[in-house]
Formats: sequence, structure tokens, C-alpha cells
Amino acid sequence: MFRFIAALAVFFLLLAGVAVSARAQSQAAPVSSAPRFLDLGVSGLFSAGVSSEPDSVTEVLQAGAHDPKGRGFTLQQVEMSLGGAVDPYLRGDVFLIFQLDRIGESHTEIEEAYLTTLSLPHGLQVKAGQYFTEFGRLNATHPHAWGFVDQPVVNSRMFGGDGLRNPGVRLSWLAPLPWFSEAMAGVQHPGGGTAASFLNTKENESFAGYEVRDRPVRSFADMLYALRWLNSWDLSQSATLNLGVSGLFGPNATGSGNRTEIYGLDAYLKWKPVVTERGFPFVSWQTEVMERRYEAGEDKVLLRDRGLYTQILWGFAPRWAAGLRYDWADGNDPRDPMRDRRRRVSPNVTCYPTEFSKLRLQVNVDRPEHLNKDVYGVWLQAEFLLGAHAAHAF
Amino acid sequence: MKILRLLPFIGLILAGLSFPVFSAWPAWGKMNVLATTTDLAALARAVGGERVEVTSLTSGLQDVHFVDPKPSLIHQARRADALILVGADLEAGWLPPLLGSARNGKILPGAPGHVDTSKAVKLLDAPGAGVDRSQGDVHPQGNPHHWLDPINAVAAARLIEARFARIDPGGRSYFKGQADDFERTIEKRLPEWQARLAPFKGRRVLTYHRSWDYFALRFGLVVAGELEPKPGIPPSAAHLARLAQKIKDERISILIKEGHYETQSARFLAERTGLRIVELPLSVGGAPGVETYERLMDVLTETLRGAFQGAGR
Repeated sequence: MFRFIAALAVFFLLLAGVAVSARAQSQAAPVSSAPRFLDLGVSGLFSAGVSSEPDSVTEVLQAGAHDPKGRGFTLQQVEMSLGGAVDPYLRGDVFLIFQLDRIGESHTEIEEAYLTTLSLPHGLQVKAGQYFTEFGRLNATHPHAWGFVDQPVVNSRMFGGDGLRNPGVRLSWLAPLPWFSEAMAGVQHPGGGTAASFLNTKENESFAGYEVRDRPVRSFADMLYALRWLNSWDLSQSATLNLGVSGLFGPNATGSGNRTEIYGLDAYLKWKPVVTERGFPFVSWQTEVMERRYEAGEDKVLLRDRGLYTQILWGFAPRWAAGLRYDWADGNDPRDPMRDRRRRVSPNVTCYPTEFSKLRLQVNVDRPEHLNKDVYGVWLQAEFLLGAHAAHAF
Repeated sequence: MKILRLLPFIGLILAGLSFPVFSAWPAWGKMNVLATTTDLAALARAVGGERVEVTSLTSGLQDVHFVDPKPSLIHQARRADALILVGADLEAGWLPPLLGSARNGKILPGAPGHVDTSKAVKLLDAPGAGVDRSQGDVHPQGNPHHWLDPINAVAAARLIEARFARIDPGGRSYFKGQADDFERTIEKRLPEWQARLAPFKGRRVLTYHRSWDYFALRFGLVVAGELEPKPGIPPSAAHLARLAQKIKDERISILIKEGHYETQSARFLAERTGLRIVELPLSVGGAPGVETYERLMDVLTETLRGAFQGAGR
């Protein structure tokens, strides 16, 4: 009964959304302008570097799928973005990723492919398709827009190498408050390698030592639910503060009825004076704190993992930015590389010849508990953007 | 996990609750107008008068190429009845994500509330076929700094008038009267402004960025070159050396520069050639006391006249 009602509710929300936005739009008469049916863009992200450890260790430590994975050169990713208005009611976006692994094999991923409604009433917006879950700030940001060469440790642990993304649908609502306040609720497929803490039976034989088993999705309770509430205030003309809280609820693959919950807090503070030269100077501070509660095995042992990263970026002169990131994560298992206590400090400096290219040098000083020693890495990263590139959200 | 089962219902209840709150909004009377720049906000105020409430998304001191699509801007865009933009991709770096998040069909491209003023004027410097980014940050449709020609400002005001009349048909004759007033003011003042710079007709000037082409064309000045070797690319030493030679060869006496660009390169040239640096506001609000479009033109023509007189040749 519940399944039926819930399915009906989701279906009608979508239908009502499209219908009402269709009505709102039909009043608008089109005006002639240059055709712009499809915006096409390509970005390439490459890196070169060295680590004090052999590649077999680096691969484990640099757990992001698009992180530099070893000594020498890495093609982190080539991303193709296609997007545009589908019709007067919907926008479509597709992001395809091409990657070369360490043995020269090429891989393709459908990173994202989703529809977004353009003008639902009451501040509502529906996104449907394959998309990055809006949990915190970094997960839904594409790697080439990150301030650092690699993915924060806590993100790799909670969401796997590729970040949390799966097919689903989410509703967002801009609340009628005096400040920017957006509430989001989404439901996504819980399985696969892009839902690492949930029904992921594809890539791992085990999770934290517990065997994972295929478990079919039987009911709405087996779906992955994501909630997020984001608020933003302009503290002054030149300073903006974003505060967000996110939650994830879904099944995991270590036992029947086992659940995973992940909670997160994120803060972003950006200072940029009104008068800038080509967007410089600026200072931004970004922090995310997460906790995962994972019921493991038939006995439903509660595994608690925590982690955070905090990073500051300082655009100190036109074209130049310096960054410093601190990672900390702990799952109280000194031997498991994905659950041990881990601390990492990463200073970097980036040169942006224009908005369409960058060159970045980063040093990682890493202290993984399971290795019981410091690991050093030096990475140089280059990026280019071609074609139409979607401007980044704040 | 009861909470999970309740989720769809919570969603429905929230959507229901929001209904009365929002249906009350349009009844507030005045048309809610957003402009991407202070200049367009000034035109919208001139045309809309007491029937509109106008907000500019940027400050007159800001470089409109580089604006963050802050959530507060999304918050404003969501409630707007009209959005007036410069167009020609000047706002390409930040307006699309803003429109994508605002959930407001009234200001999307194609709607009467999406007022692209670049469509009302003839754009200069359109690069045509074969343009690519190796030529810098070129705008394929043409130079977007069109508001600096008062004739273009009148054309933009007329477009704004037409759109306001479609959004608020009850105000049609009022908007027409306001736009007529604005046009008359410009027609009356333009000969005055032109007379100020008439003695310097044909003078060759340098600009930092290619922002002054429309202004120069209207007032009979010749832009001999830019400090930026290509649009959006900061000057290199070699380019400055070439410019120093050019300044001497072509007897260029004045450099027009916006406040947000660095002064180092300009000073380098000034020290070597005696070039006079004139900092001019590019927009309404770009200098103290510049609150209307007419004041902007007053200040621009007055400051330039003083600079030409001081520069001698």
C-alpha cells in the first residue's frame, strides 16, 4: 500500500510540475535571437608527480577515481559537457567522462545526464536522471572545478572514488524567507560503485571485512534518500556565508535490512571585494564534516566513521591563488586503509592564465595510521577548457 | 525508518503550505525589475518611474565580466518580473547559472521579462567567422559596452518601454511618456556633451580594455589601441614597449582606464612617454555623484575635456 501511494505521489509531483510550468511558459511569446540549441564543451585534466611510496600504495591513498594515481603522468579525466534548453520547460545536461587507467585502457562513464525544470511555480525545481547527489559542497562539484588536485579523504571514504551519483529524482524548494534558503529531497537508486556506502556489490568483495551480497531493491525503503538544506547570507557587499546540512539514508549490502546513514555539515565563506581585477583578490574557506553510521553484517554491528576537510583558497594576485587543505578521517580500525586514522596536509599554488586554463602545483604530506609513517607526494596539474563551458555555481 | 515512509507526504505538505505564501506575492503592486548593471537600472528607473522597483545586481564599481552568481542574487532573480541585461555575452560567466536556479519563467530567454538590450542596438567589433579564443576573450556577437553611446541608451530605453508595457499593460501610456521624456533629455543634452569634446575631434587615445569604442565613435575620438594585447589578457612587457613607441609615433596623449584595472602598466607608459592617465567611471555609480545616466555622460565628457586641455596637444 505504502509503495503504491509513494509512487503515486512522486508521479503526480512530476506531472504537476511539468503541467504548471507549461502553463506559465505558454504566456511568454518567443523573441528572435541567435540559435543556441546545444552547448558543447570539453575539459582535459592531467597531472604529473611523484610520491615517496610505490604506485601500489599511492593507488590506495589517492582513493579518488580521478586523483593522480602514481609516479609519472596521469590522465585524470577528459570531460565532455553537452547541455541546453530541451524545450520551454526543461533543461538537459549530459556530462561524459573519458579516462585512461594505469595500464592504458580507456574507460567511459556517464557521469551525469539529467533534466532540470526551468520555471516551476512556488520556488520548486525538479531534477531527474543520473546526477551527483547534492550532499555538502564537494560531491556535486566536478573534479576540474575543485581547488585541489585530488579528492578529500573523507569524500573518498563516504562516497567512493567517483563520488555519490546514481539515477533518481530530487525536488528542491526555495523557501520564501528573507535570505536564500533551499531545501532539497531526493530519492536515488542505492546500488553500484557510485553508491559506495550503500548497496554497492559491484566492485568490493567486502566492506570493512564484512562480506557484501547482492540484495535486490524490493521496496521504497530500499531506495537511497538524500536531504539537504542550504542557507546563504551576504554578510556584507563583499562577504557571503553558506551553511548547509545534509543527510543520506539507505540500505547497505552487508546484510538483509542493514542500513547506512550519513550526516554532513558544510560551511563556505567567501570574501571578494566589489572592485576586483579579473576576479582577484578573493579568499574562500570551505569545510565539510561528515559522520557515517553503517550497520555491518548479520549482527548489525554499528561502524561509525567520521571525517572532515577544511580548506582555504587565497587569490592573492590576478591569475594566482594559493591553497591549504587539511584532511582528517577516522573509523577506529588501524589496519584498514579506508577506515584508519588519517591526517593529510596539502598546500598548493595555482596559476590561471585565463578562466579557460590552469596550472597547479600541490604537495601532500600524508599520515595514514595503517602505514605508520609519513607519505609525501608532489603533483603538478594542468587543465584546459574548450568550447562552451557552463559557468560554475557559487 | 518511519521517517522514510513519511518523506513523500512531508514533501506534499510543504508544497501545499507554500501555495498561499506565494500566490500573495504578485499583488504587491510595483513591477519588480532587476538589471545586471547600474546603467541599465538607471534606464529602467527613468522609463518605469513610480510603477517599478528597480535593483541592480552589480555595483557601478564592479567589473561585470567577473561576478559571482551568489545565492543572494538567485534569491532576487526568483521574484523578478523583468531582468534587463547588457547581453552580447557580457554576463555569460554568471547569468546562466543564476537563471538556471531562479525557477522564474518570467525572466528566461524568450519571455517578455528577459530584456536583452544588445538586441536593440547595432553592435560594433563583431569578429565574424573564424574567431576563436586564441584571440582572447572575444564576444562573438560584438562588443558589449554599448551603453556608453547615448543614442544606444535611448534605443535600450525604448526596448525597456516596450517590454514594461507588455508586462504591465495598464502602464503603457505612462511608460511611453517616461521614455519620451528620457529621449528628449538625451536629445537636448547630447549636443552639449558633443560640444565639450568637439575641439578634440579626431584625437587618438589609448584604452585599457576595449570598453570605449561606442563612446569614442559618438564623440569623435579615435581608439588607437588597448593596453590589453587581446581582450581579457593582461599587458605583457613586449606589448607595452610596442605601445610606448606607438604613443610617440602617433602623438597619443591620453589613456582611458577603468578603476578596476591595475595602474602599474599605465604608469610605466606614463613615465616613459608623458601619457596622461584618465580614470573614468564605466557605469552609473562608478564615481561619487554619478546617480543617473545623464550624470554619467556629464562626468565622462567633463573629465575628458579637462584631460585633453591639460595634455596640451
